[in-house]
Amino acid sequence: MESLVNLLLRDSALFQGLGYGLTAALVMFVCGFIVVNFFGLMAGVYIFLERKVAGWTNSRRGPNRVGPYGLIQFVADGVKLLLKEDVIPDQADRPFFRFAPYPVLLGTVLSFVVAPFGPKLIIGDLNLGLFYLLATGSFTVIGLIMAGWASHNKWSLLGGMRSAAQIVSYEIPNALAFLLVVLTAGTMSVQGIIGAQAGGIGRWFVFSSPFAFAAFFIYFISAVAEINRIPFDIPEAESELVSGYNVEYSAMRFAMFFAAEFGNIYVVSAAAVTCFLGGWQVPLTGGPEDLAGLGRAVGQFLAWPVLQVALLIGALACFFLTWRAGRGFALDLKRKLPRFTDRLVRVNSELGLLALLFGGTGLILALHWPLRPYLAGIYAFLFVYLVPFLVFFIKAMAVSFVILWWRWTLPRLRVDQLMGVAWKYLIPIGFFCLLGQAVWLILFRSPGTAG
Amino acid sequence: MGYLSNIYEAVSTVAVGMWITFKTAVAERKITIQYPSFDIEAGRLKDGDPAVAKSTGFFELVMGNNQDYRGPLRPRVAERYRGLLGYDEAKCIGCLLCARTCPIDVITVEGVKLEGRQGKAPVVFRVNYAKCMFCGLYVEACPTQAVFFTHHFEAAAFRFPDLVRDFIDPELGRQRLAQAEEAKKSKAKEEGEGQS
Repeated sequence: MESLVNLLLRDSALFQGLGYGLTAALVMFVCGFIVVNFFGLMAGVYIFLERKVAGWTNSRRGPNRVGPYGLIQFVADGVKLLLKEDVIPDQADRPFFRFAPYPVLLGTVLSFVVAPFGPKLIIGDLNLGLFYLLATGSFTVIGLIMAGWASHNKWSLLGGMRSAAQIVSYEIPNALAFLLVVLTAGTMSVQGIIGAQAGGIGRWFVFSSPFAFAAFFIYFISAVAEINRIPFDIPEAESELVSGYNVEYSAMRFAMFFAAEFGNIYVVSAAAVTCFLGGWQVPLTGGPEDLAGLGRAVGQFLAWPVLQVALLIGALACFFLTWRAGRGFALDLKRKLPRFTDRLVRVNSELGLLALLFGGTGLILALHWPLRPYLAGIYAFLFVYLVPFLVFFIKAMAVSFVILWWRWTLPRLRVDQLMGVAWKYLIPIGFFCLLGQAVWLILFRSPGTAG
Repeated sequence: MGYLSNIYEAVSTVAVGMWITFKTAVAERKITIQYPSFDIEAGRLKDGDPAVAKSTGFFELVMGNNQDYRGPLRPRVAERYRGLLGYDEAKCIGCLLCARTCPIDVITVEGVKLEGRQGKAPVVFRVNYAKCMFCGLYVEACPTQAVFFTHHFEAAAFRFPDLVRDFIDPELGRQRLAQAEEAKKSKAKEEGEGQS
């Protein structure tokens, strides 16, 4: 973000007129807007995926009535929650009750500041990145206890207390795993850590040493515990506490807890990917400089006349499929139009979605022809910005899929078991790994060279 | 060694559990019945619904759309299930016993005397499902077994008046009323002729 502000001030007369403060504020606002929306969208995506995974593991289908494959079910749910009455219990501590969702949401959204999206795409590459991440992670617990206390409900209070105990316990193994990463990378900056993992899968921290390998699992388990998900979800154990700290919440305040909970999945997976799985480093390539060269090479390769013809044929095939799917969609629409008011009738929107997808692909393939003199530049740009983002995103989704998968696989831990896992297993092993990694670094790497 | 074996146990059991759920998610046949779009009694999908449309390939395969439960549901309804009310018009004698037995006046019956029919011929037989609690008293009360329980249970409606069900076609009712009127008139005429 800082570099963007400097860039704007240097190159644009308009922003020079505005001055540093206003430009920075504007850039901050835009970045914040983008990230908060990304957070909201990710929460929606996770809610959708969660329900789909739940369906699949239970031999069901999951949501499939709202939109194609139920894709916009979460929008319908969100609208429903927006329109509901915001009930505040009579005996509740009103100001705290109303304030409690904000720290929870804030703790999650603030974490996105250090979430890397690509080599240059990050809001703030703080030199205390991981430390900041830990701090915002524990910010949530304030809101949870506040919600539990202010609700004036014994289940809420128990849930809040449990979540406090749990998050405080699991902070320690979490921090130990982070410490190991910091020790290996020699920096706390998120981009610095990712930069230290450049150069192929073998350089990813998870595979760099046996201790880091163990630390990855310590981090993953404690992170799952910290975002209160099964098997560590005793703060909202449905069978014991109804729903824990958010029993009394309804409407938008409940939606905030809910969104924070699901947004946290992305934060945690992004942190795991950043610290252990190479961040946005594309497998089998070096750093971002390599990517630009690779992109240029791919662009030049695609500009080759034979391939251009092949691409055009591919585009034609895509347009043919677009026509087929679009025609099917139109026919379906026409057939159902007379009965449109019947609420049981639903248009086959899957076909429409397929038409859009094929049409988009065909358009992109066809655009290679008029753009062939610029392909090298375009592909270099894509490989520097888009490909790392996609790689990061795919890695993060893979990690979060395991989190979702666990939820529908494992039973809930008892309170004593939960504490036992943290204090008897994760923390001693974490310390052992930290020491082991230090020794490993002394033995196998010359001092002073980070990464 | 309890410490290490605990760790081993945890890892291996989690792995087994994950494998089981993965297998279920990928390979198991879906047991969902796409209820409103699926005609339970016919055991097939209703027309005009998306599930009827042909498979759209890759996505359908991934999302497992082609593996739903498709069989009929009827045999699973118990023999003595108290479903919606059934009515056999031919047996009804219009005695009004059912309407009188009903504790909440769900049933409206009207009958007229017709030539060549035992008892009265029903003109109106109306059940208001909005009020009905399916107590079954009317079934016991009926002397001719004209009313009985069926195995149907899909009575949900979007509008209140849709829950009121007329078992006798209004047209037939009107015809019968007219017939009865006719018969009454001709009878009165005969009587009048006899007197004079």
